[in-house]
Amino acid sequence: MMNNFSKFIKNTLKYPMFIVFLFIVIFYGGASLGKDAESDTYAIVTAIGLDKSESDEIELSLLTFIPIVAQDFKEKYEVIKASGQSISEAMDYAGLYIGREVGLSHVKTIVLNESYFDEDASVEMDYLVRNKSLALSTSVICTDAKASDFLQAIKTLDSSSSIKVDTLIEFNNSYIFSKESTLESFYKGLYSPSKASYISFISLVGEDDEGVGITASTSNAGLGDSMASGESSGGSQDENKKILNKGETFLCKRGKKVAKLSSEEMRNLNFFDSSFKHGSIVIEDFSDELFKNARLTFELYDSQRNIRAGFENGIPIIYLDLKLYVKLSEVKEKDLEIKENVDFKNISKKAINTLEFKVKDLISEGVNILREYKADTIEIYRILNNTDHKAMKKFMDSLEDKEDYLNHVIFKVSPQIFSS
Amino acid sequence: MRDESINVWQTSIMLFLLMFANKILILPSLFFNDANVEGILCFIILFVLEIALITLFIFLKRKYPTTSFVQLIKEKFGKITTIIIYFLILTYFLCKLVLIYNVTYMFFKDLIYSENSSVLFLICLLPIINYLAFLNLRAFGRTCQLFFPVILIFALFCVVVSFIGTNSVPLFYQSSFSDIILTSLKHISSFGDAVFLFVLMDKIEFKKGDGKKVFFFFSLASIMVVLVAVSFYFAYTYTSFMHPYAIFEILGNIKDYGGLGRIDVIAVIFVMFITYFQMAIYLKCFSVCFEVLLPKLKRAYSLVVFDFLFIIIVELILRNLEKTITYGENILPYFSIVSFVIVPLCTIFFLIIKSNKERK
Repeated sequence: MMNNFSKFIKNTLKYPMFIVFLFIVIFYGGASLGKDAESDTYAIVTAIGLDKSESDEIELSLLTFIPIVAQDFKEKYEVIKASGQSISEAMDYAGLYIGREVGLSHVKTIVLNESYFDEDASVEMDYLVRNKSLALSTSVICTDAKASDFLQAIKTLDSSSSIKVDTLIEFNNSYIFSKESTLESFYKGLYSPSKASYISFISLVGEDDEGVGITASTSNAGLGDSMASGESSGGSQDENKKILNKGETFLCKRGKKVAKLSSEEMRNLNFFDSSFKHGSIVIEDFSDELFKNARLTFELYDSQRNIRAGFENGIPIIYLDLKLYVKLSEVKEKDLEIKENVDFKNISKKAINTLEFKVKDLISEGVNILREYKADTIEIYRILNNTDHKAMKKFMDSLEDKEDYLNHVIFKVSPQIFSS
Repeated sequence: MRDESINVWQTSIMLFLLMFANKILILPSLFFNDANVEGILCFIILFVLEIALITLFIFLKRKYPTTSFVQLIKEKFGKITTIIIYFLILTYFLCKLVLIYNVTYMFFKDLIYSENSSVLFLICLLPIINYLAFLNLRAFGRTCQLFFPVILIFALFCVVVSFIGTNSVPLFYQSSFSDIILTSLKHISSFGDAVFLFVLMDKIEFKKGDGKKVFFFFSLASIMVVLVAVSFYFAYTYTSFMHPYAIFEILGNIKDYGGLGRIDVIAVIFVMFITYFQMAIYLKCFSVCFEVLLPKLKRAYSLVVFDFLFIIIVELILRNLEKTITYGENILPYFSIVSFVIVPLCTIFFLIIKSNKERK
């Protein structure tokens, strides 16, 4: 028995790789067993809030997951606040307050107070981009409330419901009324030729305010706050607030806000994009053989677009061939009597034409917004340049204000509506 | 002699593995930084240079199937020149090994093992590559052959899946011809891997028509590298320079937007696999050069010398990604003279002199 064992050991030791394996298992395996659990050394941050103080200091808030042994599935979160001259310094203070290292690899949302966009926000966001733990796919939200109050609202939301703010933003791209808002999308826009990008705006409103929101408490009594050396957030005690995502979006140029676009304006711009899945168009006061002075709401359920570019006599032209698949989802008509089972598939030619004109008008309004702010978020420059680089260069050289190229581009839009 | 020989399949697999060295991690991002999307052309230009090197090798191998490169040089240029050339080749391999190690180490440290020191990496890496280099070449070639299907599947998976997340188009025509050439020269050190064929020349069993196999594997690898860069530029467009680790980032992009879960782990496994083999091939070449310079010393000494020099350079000089990039962009390109100037010139001179003599 002993002989066999010593033979086995001798044979095994003939393989140097086995010795290396044993070495690693014994030394590093042993060391790992003696280590503290990561949850004991790291504070798992899921959202970051940034405010600016009056003295231009950074006020940092961290929505931190606190692991507690429990029988239920509730997750316990706390908001930790700290301030400093830079985000790095504030992070260090936050770590000091909670006695753990700040771990940012689970951060899904960054909330910035709107004052950040009065200047080039990319300067302030530098730390967030350089930090290797933070994914560039992290959602970025701008809010009119204090970011710390916003995190308090998220905290209640995360702890008491299955709705997460990051998923609220994640689905922005699915709707025609809003747009994706991540670190990546912001910087993609910032480094594009026209340096224009979008940031989602979500407001924190009172419980009685209109609009659909998610009620969440912004109570300030928490572990993190007491650790934050009494730094007041200025928020109200136990006040119920609603997080309201109306699809409003900041249009930024060089990282600075130039306009706050409504959901309707975003819809007009999103006709150039193919990522949305849901949306609707309303026609007012429509009359034909079926309806009289009716308000018709059409739901978009699919779309296809083809954007082509060309130059005629040196003038750039963009051709947008748009196919929209719609269904009539709602009719509002005074004295409407349903006498028979109305087959909505038979939308009249007049309704289709009206809808096509409406879409053209909406797109025209969208283009005018971009022309006004010289913000090419629909990448017209890229399309023209990739189509005919020489003609584009010649065209750009002919302009006095090179940023104003959108005003000199002709848009030819051909919408086609298909109903079901 | 039998144990130290490898067939053309094994040679082609080694060439395939080396074609990925340093090219699918930080290189696409660095190319974009200097030459925008036209960085793809830098890949193509440098692969053309690599093709020239391989063609030269095949031509030389056909003419002198059993002679070693050291014998050829010694015959025409003398012993001292041979020693100088082989010393330069040895230094070149050492420098390339340092670059590959640093880039891979930074990749793992930044993304997964931020708390672990480089000592753990060295413990996990050095014994294995030392062992692979210590093995006779035939056994090493078989090991490469054994793992090749797995590596190929991972590589194909990364390339094919990476195109799922590409829903945007980058901006073309932003760099001039001189930008492209300068960028190619700046990063030339990441290429020239085919020089290993010259070092192992006498150990490669080469028959008529085998050149096609070598070119097939080379083309496969280079197309895959270019496709990785293309999908990377199409996925990230203007922010490509902000993403340092291309192969990981493009799979990460699918995770973020395609909802395919943590498939970026596959990129990590793939990088880990090929790094072991790339480093082992280079170390084998280092060892062969060492034996030429000091023929009386046993192979084990070459490995000890390598380990000593390697740890000093890695631990004392290059400790972070910034230093590694500076080293790769500013110092190492000068060493590429070995692969793109000295070795080809020696070969061409030798072939010209020989053919002149034959004519006489």
